[in-house]
Amino acid sequence: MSEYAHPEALVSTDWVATHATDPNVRVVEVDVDTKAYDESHVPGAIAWAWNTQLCDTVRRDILSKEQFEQLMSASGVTPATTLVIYGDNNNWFAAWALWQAKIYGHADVRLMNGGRKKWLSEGRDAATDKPEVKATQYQAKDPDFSLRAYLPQVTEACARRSSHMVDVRSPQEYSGEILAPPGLPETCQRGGHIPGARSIPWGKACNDDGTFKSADELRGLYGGEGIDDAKPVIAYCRIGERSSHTWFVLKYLLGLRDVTNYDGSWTEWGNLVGAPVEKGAVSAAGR
Amino acid sequence: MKAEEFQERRIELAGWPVNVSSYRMGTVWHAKADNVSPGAGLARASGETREAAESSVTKRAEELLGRTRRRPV
Repeated sequence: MSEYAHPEALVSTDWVATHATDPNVRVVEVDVDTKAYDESHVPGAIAWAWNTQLCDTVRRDILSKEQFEQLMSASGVTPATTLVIYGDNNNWFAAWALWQAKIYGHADVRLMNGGRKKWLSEGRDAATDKPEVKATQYQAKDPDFSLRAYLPQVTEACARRSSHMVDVRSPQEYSGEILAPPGLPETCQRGGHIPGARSIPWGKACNDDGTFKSADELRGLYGGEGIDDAKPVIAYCRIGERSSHTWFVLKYLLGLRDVTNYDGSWTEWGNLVGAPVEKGAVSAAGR
Repeated sequence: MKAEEFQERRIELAGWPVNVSSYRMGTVWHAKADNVSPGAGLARASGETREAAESSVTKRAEELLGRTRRRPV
């Protein structure tokens, strides 16, 4: 069995149980459901809310460098801190937070493999109180936007078929049968997918306990759909958090060289006037 | 305190597969319901028993899932 390309990007629940309160470690919970942290969390962990603390709340964007610095400072994080992020839904928004931390050059940021679900299912200690945090003066690096795909880049990649496009949403969202995950509000005008995109739902990368599948299994999953280093890879979903998860898998577990997260995703593409849209279950032009 | 008696099961609500999970923190039971694909949270509730907490989330999840429109493709 082969190793992940960057095994240091993951820690186990055992590791967190031992190191969560180390002075150079900051454990952060980032959930889709921002109330989950109040219910219970890893002792010593703080929480970031994806919808207020991990995005610009005025314009649609990720955090600016200054906003990222403010968040890290308020979280007691220094550039030397080992950031361990976990959350619900097998680390959806934890991966979103990690992606932003990588953009702003935080050196040591990792996901807790299995996320919140694994921690709870193992019957581990859980807290409801919030730890006291001593603020820092964090200085971020200039953003590395080579990790992010913007609309013009995606438009060109679609037209030229110059990138592997990976649609990580559910098969029904990909086909256009539904416009949003079942039970959630519809947030786009059109259903379907970006022409040429392969449908590889994010959850296929996970085991039932929320941990990532083995490197060999992941290689088989993505390689079987033709996703390799021959072309850059662009991952997208609806708003960019599920695709952060797949971005993490492709970049850090499989080690592909050029992987970007298109966080505009279907809420951008599916609302564009005149954007090409493909419907149906299988992309005819994907390979 | 520990998170205890975690359970997860799959049911169908309004024609959609749903994961219902629950666990206990002290005397309080917490439950949540997620749609299976993609795995997005639909409802979260607490109660004095597992059944009470799960009943709340399945009721709310069924309401939400019942609003999902399927389109011809």
